[in-house]
Amino acid sequence: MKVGIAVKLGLLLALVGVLAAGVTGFYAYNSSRALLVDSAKNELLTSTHVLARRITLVREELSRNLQTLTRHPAALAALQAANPDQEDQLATLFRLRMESDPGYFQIRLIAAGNGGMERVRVDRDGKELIRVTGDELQEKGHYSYVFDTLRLAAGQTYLSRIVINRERGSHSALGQPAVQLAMPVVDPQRGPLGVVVINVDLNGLFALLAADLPQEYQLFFANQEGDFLIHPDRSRTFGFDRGRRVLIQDEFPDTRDLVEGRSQQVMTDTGIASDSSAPLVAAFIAQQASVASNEKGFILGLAQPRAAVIKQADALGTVILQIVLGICLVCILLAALVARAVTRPINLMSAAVEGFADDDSAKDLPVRRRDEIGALARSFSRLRTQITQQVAELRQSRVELEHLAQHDTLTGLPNRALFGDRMEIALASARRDDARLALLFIDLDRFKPINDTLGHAAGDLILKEISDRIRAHIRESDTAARIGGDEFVVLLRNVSHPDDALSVANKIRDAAALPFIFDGQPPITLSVSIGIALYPDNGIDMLSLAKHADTAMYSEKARNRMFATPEQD
Amino acid sequence: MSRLRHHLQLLCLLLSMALPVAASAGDALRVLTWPGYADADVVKVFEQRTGSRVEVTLIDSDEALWQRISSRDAADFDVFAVNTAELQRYIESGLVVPIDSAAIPNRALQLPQFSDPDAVPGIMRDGKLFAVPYTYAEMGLIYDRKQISEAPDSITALWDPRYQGKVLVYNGGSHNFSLASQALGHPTPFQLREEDWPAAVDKLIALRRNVLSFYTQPDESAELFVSRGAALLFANYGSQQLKLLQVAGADVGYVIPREGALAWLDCWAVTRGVKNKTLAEAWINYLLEQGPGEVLTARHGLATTTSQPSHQEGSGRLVWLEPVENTERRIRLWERIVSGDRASRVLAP
Repeated sequence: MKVGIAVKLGLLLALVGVLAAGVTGFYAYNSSRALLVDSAKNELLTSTHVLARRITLVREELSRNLQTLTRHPAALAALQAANPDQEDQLATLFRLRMESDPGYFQIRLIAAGNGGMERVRVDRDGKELIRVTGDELQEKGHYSYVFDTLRLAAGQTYLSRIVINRERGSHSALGQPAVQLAMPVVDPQRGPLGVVVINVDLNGLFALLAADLPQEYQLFFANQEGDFLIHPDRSRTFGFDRGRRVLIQDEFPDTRDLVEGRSQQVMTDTGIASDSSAPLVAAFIAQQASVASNEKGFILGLAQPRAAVIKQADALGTVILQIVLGICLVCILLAALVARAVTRPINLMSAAVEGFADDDSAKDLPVRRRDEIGALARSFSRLRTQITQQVAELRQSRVELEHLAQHDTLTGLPNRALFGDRMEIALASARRDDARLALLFIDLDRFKPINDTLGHAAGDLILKEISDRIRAHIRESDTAARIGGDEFVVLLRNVSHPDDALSVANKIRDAAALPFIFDGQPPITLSVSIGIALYPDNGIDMLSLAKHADTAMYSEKARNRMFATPEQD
Repeated sequence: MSRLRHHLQLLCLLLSMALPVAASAGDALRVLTWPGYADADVVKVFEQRTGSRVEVTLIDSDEALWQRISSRDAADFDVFAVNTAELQRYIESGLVVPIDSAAIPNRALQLPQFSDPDAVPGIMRDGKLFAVPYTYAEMGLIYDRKQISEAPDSITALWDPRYQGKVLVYNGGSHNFSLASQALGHPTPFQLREEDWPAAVDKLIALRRNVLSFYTQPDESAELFVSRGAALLFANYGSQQLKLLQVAGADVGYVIPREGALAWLDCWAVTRGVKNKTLAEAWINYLLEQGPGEVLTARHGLATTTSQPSHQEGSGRLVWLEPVENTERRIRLWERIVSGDRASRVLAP
């Protein structure tokens, strides 16, 4: 296919199609990515709220448990007076509670007096629960979960700061992130006599809360100041316990608003910590401590690796890519078809123009189309018809002109010029074939008086009649011509014998001698004189043959002889 | 798209490989110190001036300091602040290296009692300078003027049942025993004899029963003092805590008890694990300048070694901290005491 309009048009159309499909696909992919990130953020935010709600529920459950324990008659009884039975009963209660809540490190009943002496204490030690008694019981009055709780009214919950537990002898809780929830045991008459403290395993609690979150979710938990308490990287938690604070607002700058109390929730997807390998999409919310606490509040957050979010977009991207490729293919195909459809009639017209006079190619012109190409084809067809017609007319005129130039208008016989041509051809042919030909000069005797007396019209009629008679007695291959007023010549080709020429001459003479009859006129009789020259006998060129025939004719006229004497000179 | 991301990661990797050239000029100076000694703005000036990076780690007890420095043979830090009493065991354990005095020209700015090595016991050993004094404080008593009309004149005020549940004491093993020893009237609070231990333990248990709580950080102590209405505070951080409480609007007084106030002098020392000794010495020299000194006094109420201290209430003498007879034992017993154990269990082996 030559680089013509079809190729250019096809390429252009295909390019436009491919470009349109590509751009659409690209934007679809990009916006789908943005949408996915947004929806991931919202999902994270929702999950964070759900988690926060769960934490609140857990805290409320802890409060209820504390209420149950502090209001239990055994608690008050054990504090009012040393009473081993009541203590045993309480220890059993504590143990039961801890069996059902694996997240509890310790439950204790602590007296307000005696330096905050522990009265009943059950510790978790690995998988075992231990009742701590006697000498091992400690005085805890100087811990805020005791002295701050004692200031609360009955049924109010105290929440301690979340720190690493450094209390010696606390079994599983030692060295672990822990939080104490406590509630006073109040004697209606004597006021608070002690507290019940539940020591909660922070990591265990959160592991339980976050258990049904998607695997890729990362949980962050920080105190109001921003110190990480829970972080996927354990080494970044409780930095203050090691003297180097690790703050959420340093890792996720957007959370500064939460730390400084300017907003309640933030969503971020630029939280790329300097030492974090992968960018995260994350949602954080601030949660106020709803109970008496040394913690002002907490920041809770969930994050998801950005890559995991975008991965869904990549699947979509593959589908989009397939669609785009499909559309591109269709575009290319369509472009090819359109290019062909447009250029085929043009090619047809072009072929028609090339074979202008050829009827076959004209048949293919798309004249039936109703569009611009059809109109063009019809115009072209009309033009072509006109031109063809005019050319035919011109050709006809030329043929006529040619005939006029070579024939005698009166008799229709060839004139002198045409006869000369034929004579030359015949001579050449005879010379080659070593054949004989004859040249006859014919002259009407006493024609002039007839012409004068009967008029030119009659003379013309006679000349026409004579021509017809001569033509009637020669072969088709022979030529008769009128070369003057009443002079005719006849060329006989392939004369095998001189007598044949003589015979033709005699027949002509006899035919001419027949009377001419005109309307209302007496018949007219004429005679002709005929001179014969033979090739090669009487000459080998036209001039000598003509001379000889002329001479012979005049001789016959004069001496009534038919044959000219052979040339003397 | 994942390929594009792959290329980007590769690019980042290449860029990050080019960066260490610039970063190596500023190898991090690892500083282990106390709150208020190396505030971010003070550190920033030093970083800008030297083109280095400073990593500050804060500790709040001598025990934590010893733990951090000795645990990995001082490999984790370059320079740290330690009091002269504590310094001795670091020197003996070879955890610190001598300082080139010529590298600290700002020592000339110090008051004579700090710039003259002979005047400060414990910073010289075998004719070599091991530490440069930085700041000091006596551990006086801070009291609430509204609750205590007459300034307490004895350390035993901490045990006064009138203030039961209104006393705040530092959570520190070593010198709480010194405090108990002082209260018991021992002449040498830093050297407990074997027969002194039960009494000291009893005294500290009694203290535990009289306090509201034990604190570790200056901020924490001020917060507890104000919010829980404490009356008396054993000021382990001295004037620093006084300043904090004054800023918080408390009407407080500061007194040096008649038994004498334990006093510490914190110095900068260079560890044997120092990576860039010149930089560590430049750090020490820089902190003796006026700028950091002003931050120390104005912001934290700490004394500097370059200017005369503002006068404080009380007239007792200062008892400079000295190494104690057995730090580990004091700490072990203290941990039991603070956890609430009774004397029998505290003294158990």
